[in-house]
Amino acid sequence: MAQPVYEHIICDPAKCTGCRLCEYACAMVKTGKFDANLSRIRVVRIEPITMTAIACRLCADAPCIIACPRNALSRSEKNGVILVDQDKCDGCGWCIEACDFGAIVLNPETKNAEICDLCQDLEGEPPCIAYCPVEALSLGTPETLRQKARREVVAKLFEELFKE
Amino acid sequence: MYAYTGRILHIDVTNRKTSIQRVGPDFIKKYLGGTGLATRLVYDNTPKGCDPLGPENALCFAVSAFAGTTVPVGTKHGVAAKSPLTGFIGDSLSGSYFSEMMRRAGYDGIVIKGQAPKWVVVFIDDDDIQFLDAAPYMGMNTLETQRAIRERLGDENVRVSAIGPAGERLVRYALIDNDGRQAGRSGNGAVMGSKRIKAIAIRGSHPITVADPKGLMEASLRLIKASRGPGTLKYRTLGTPANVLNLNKMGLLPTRNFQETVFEEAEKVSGEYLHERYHVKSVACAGCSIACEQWGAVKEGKYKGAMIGLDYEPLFAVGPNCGIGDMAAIIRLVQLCDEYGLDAMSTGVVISWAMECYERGILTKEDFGGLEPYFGNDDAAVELVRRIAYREGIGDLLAEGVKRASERVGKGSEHFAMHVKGLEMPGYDVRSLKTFALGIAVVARGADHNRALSYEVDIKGEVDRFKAEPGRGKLAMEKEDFACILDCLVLCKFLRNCFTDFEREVAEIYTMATGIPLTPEELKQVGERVVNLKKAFNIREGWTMADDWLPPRVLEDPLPSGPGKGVRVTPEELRMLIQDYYAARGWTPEGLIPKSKLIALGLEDIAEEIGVEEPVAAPAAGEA
Amino acid sequence: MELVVEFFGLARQLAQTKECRIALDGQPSFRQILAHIAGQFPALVGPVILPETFDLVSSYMLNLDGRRRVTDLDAPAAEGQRLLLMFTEAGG
Repeated sequence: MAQPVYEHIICDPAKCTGCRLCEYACAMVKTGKFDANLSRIRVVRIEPITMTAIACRLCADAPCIIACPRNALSRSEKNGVILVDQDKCDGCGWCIEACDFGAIVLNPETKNAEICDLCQDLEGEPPCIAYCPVEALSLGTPETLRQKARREVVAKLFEELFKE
Repeated sequence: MYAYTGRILHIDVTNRKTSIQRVGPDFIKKYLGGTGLATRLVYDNTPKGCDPLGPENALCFAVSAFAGTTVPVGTKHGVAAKSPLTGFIGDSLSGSYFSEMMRRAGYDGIVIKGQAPKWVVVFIDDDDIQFLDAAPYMGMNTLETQRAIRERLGDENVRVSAIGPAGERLVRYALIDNDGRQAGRSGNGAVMGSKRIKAIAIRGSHPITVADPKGLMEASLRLIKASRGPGTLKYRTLGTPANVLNLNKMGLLPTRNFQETVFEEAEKVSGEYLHERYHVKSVACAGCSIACEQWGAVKEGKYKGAMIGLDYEPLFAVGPNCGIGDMAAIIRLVQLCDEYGLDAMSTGVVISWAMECYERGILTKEDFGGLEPYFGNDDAAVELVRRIAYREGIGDLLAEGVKRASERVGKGSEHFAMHVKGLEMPGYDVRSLKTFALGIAVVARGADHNRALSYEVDIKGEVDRFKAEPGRGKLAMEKEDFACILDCLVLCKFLRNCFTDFEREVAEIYTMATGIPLTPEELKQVGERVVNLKKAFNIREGWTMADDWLPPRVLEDPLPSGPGKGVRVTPEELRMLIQDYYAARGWTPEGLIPKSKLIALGLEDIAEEIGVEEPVAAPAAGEA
Repeated sequence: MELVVEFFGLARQLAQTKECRIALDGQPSFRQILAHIAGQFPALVGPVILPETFDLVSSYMLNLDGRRRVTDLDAPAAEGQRLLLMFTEAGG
């Protein structure tokens, strides 16, 4: 049987306008307050026009899980998100250091690491996607990303040919 | 309190003293935030008759009730002071990350007075206020300053409002830049420079809580969806540069210092052309769902590498208005203005005045230090922008703004100095926009489209734009009050067509965010109150009826071509319109505010200071 | 009868032309002209011109010779007019 593949939040940098509404929405849904620093999705804006949003990418061989000295992190079998055992986690931050994407938050109030869980407990699409005004955010797997990229490059090629 | 913090931070940079002023819901709901609260803070903290560039002027920031929340385009702040251009109220708006951090640092408003002995960076780190040596940043442009301070403090959460070389040299129309957005008009960058503040860095760690999170989240989502609908189609498609061709076709595009209103090269400087040839990305302010800012990049030619987010007003000012029909040059010119920290609108109108002076022989090649700034000479324009920012040669004169420069030069150049109250004109020729001609003549901050807003009724065809008639006073008043509500909340004006019942919907969202009850009627009254407050400030600072007037060119030179050929605003028309407006406002025929009016608006303290007794109505003929 | 329709903003992007000359018999109304344009440039139907009624979407207006907005689409157009299909929104 093939390895299970999981969907994660992906952002199309061509569409992202850098507005950060995804951060505000995520923080409110997860903490009841507007505090972008506690958002599990973060907008990176390299001034002036380079921008995208980053959340947990559900890495296949997740370094955060390996890095945790207390075995507080594990992968959900249901949808692949990284689960944080609130009792085991003591907020040491090794997972944050291990994450190549800066996608893990240390909540100073709970003293726990917090990671995007795709809002699996909510009905409907994750709020970050719902609040994105420009449809830059979506759920995707590495395979759907590859397919999309291939379709786009061929469409472009076709357009160029057609233009000639 | 929810959303609000109830705290105003006072900073005196002369002796590095700070204090906190507590404000309650009753006070704050009268002004909401933004330019309303900022104006009130200016009124309360500047002594009458103070020098705008002296230590007594108060530079005031006030944040939106919605900053840092999901309410779209609500992450904004207002900046106000006594304007060094007009001597009256100078209120401007900016937005994005800085606004959010101001609220999260724990402040609804910041009042800065005094003058630092040496240049400083004020670093507001929650309750900890530090005064950093600005020496490493002096001479840096606006964006470099922000980056350098962020790097030094080592945290992306530090957001910075900075001035550029123009603000350091007190160019009267210098601006304050944060996150690539600008509090652009009326010279607040010069006020900041006069206090020897190179930048204000701010970092906030407090989360923002709201009264009704669920309600606010739902309302936000509805508004986000609405903001992607027909009400913002223009802003999302081409952004404000879409105006170029529309206004050109209607004969409203100021060309060669308002000598004409149809530009023969309009196609080449249009939003359509920008999109086709230069567009690289549409960008949003923090918290904005519209993303109107159209970034254009120049990929070849002498301006290769130039890049800027282009809006109509800067575009018109340095482009058609200077006879420049090269989009690449316009992109470069606006970029330079932003980097030097100059209001591109005022800069363009000042340069176009200088160009006309040159073409008429009033100023010579010698006066310009060897430059030949005929209309369309983009090289000269680029060099003039630099000289203005550094006050070099003729730049020192031009840095004073078109009112002062023309008064100094004389020789008839006042005739085509395009300003009202000292603030340079925006990109709509008012000769064939009679409602807007009135709006711009009377509005407190001077020649300004964003505060007056009445161009809408003329351009959208709600009235005959060529006709001056009674009733326009009421229309101008309503548009001005509506604009004012948005500026106080703050919500971006580009959201204005996304509501079905504006006052009701917005009052509801306001209460969800702040927990402060607000009726639609109360919200409406805020607009009227703050417009009266601004006028009251002007009256206190020596306003007379002569200040509500238009430039001679508008009154004397008929339009030479286009759909409005032969049209001007006659002095008789303007006098009639102004009286119609004063009457609609409940002001005296002299444009003063009756005590009773101020008291009805909840401005009792101001009524005592500047209110006049109600004029006794003369009995109508035949009734006596 | 002949007249010219000019396209701006989204309308120009969708029609892929700056203007078109229109020749119709009799005295067509502005609405009939919009219907004609909708036939010639189907991409405009929906985003700019509403199907069936041939009204304009609220973000678009028809301006006559740069002088005034057409408020009654059922009024007759006249020979030699220039109809400007532009954004209603005037804000800068």
